[in-house]
Amino acid sequence: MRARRLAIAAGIGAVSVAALTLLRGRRNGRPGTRRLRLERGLAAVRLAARGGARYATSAPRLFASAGEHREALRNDLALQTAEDVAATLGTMKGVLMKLGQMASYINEGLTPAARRTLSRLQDSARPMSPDLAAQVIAEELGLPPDRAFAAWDPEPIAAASIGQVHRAITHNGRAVAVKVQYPGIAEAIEADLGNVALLRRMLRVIAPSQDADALLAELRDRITQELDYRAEARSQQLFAHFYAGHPTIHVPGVVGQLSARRVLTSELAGGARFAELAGWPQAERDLAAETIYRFVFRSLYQAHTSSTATHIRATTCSMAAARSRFWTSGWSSATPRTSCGRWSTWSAACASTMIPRRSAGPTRTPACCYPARRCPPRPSSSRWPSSTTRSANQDRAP
Amino acid sequence: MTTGSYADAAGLVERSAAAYAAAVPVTPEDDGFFGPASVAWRVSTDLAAPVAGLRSLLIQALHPLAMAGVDQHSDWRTDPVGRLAATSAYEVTVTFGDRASATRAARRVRAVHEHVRGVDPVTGQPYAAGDPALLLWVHAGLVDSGLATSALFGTPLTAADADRYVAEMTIAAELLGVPHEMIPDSVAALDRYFDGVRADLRRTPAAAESMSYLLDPPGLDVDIAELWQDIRDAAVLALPGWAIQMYGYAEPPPLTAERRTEIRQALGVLDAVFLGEPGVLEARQRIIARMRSAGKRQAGAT
Repeated sequence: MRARRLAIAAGIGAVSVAALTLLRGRRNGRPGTRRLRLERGLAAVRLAARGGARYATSAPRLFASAGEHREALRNDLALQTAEDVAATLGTMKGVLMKLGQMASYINEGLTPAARRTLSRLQDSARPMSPDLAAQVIAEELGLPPDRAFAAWDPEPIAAASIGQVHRAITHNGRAVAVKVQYPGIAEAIEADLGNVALLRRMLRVIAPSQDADALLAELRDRITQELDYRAEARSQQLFAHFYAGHPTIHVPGVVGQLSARRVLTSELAGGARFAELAGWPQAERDLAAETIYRFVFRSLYQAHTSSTATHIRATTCSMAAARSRFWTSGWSSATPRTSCGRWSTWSAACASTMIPRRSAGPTRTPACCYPARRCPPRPSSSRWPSSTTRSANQDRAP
Repeated sequence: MTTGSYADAAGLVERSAAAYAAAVPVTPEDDGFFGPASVAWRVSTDLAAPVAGLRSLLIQALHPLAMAGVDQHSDWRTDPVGRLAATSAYEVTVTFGDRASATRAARRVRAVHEHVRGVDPVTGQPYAAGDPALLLWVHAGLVDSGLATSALFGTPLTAADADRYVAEMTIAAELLGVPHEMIPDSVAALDRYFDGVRADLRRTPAAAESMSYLLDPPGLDVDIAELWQDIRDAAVLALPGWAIQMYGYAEPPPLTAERRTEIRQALGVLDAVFLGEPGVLEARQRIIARMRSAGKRQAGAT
């Protein structure tokens, strides 16, 4: 088997789309449906890849409907001012989008209508215009992008709910991915998070079987953390160190001098998209699956043993954050951040649908595929360190 | 006068959304009677538009003859949700549709109006839905509500844009058969119109019944029902004092900045729910894209 360094970055978003559809297909128990849905997921991914400007979330439908005019349409819809940002992502929409990214985490408890609404909201994400992105760079780094960097691509390569990713080259010649936060989004979201009564009401309706207050606390934590890219930079750097020298896993490093509260610059890594990966020979697909598997569970369990996080849920969440860097620094068509829930759903799907086909390596279905509250107890003979049996609240990672 | 209960309001969002998605044109032949650079498009896409819709109905119901026509002829009681969806689809077609579609839709409404005639049981006066005075009343309620709610809960218009909006909207009344010279074409003219018509207004039993239904529609999904409370409060808050008195509502407390934010947040959630319905996001994007390119053309021209 040819040793091939997989830049998982490019593929994970697509994998999670495909894996989620797989999982749903499995529930239906009809193989025909499953294949059809998988193909549809792949078609969406291909379409996004073809789109040139790669907005995985909004691209397929928007650009598909626009046909030849998609480029013009994209420019027309771009957010041009901070007022645009407030109108589009204020009045709870940014908060709801974030909740949508947590959606699979609370998937079981989500009403179908809420699930649909949250997913459509993701589709409504719009990029910043090049001028608006440049303005944020200038405010955060003190220089406009064409001076802060040796080269700056004004066309974003990925979009997320609260920011977008540009590629650039630093003055010392490093190719980097620069995540830029929408101006005004932090203020809008903070104001919306203040309306606890409405949020609690919303959460009760969206996910009636979940503990609204716990969910609200999680939502606030998550959003507050994500609004300051400096926190993300620190934990990305941690993961980059953790995997430094690993033969198949690579987490891009952070360029600290070019990062700030609303700007996160990290090394740019190339790689393959999931659609490409699916066309590789079986042996290489196996390696890809193994690498992804190793990344997921090594991060979970070794991060755990190394006390990066003691509680499985905290661990999965920091994983989700890690993956975001993973993605944004790659040539990703995916949303840079999604929930740790989608992550664990994905990993469960991955483990149960991909890994067992392998002839060697770990074949055990991991015990902890689901968020903490549903984690089944694992046998004590497991060679993995204990994760779920400890106190849930004990020293959460800082 | 017919009595009896109303059908419940289940499916209000779904059916309004379907009507909206279908009414926003995909490949319009022209920019219609307003155009993407118009104030009318801005008001129609304002966050406060649902409040404007509800406030319009609250105002419009206060004319006994207009209310009698609805009460005695429309399917308002048996299918209130269908009636609301059809009305909003009509407004969307007239606003965003091309001229041919808008004209066709207006012609259909005029044909229906031909058959809506009768005698109002409260005042004893005969009425006809095609009566320009009644059509103008309905029109004025709509335009005034767009102004009032965008000022309070949406993006306020400048005085010049408010005048422009009233002037732009005159075409909507003309399409239904109101002679141009009758239609207020500035904010001042609109205010004068309301002063003049006040003596004809009153809250009839049919109006009271319809509006208490609308303010608290039974059968809404629980999530919508909760949001509806904020929308309802907002609509009542935006009413002129005379309308609040006629309905006998308690004088609402003055609008604080906090309350305004809360109402806007509720409107944002409602909008998100609306966007979750099939075709709504695409329809919205079609509109935004047209408004954006019109804005650019304008900026380039100056």
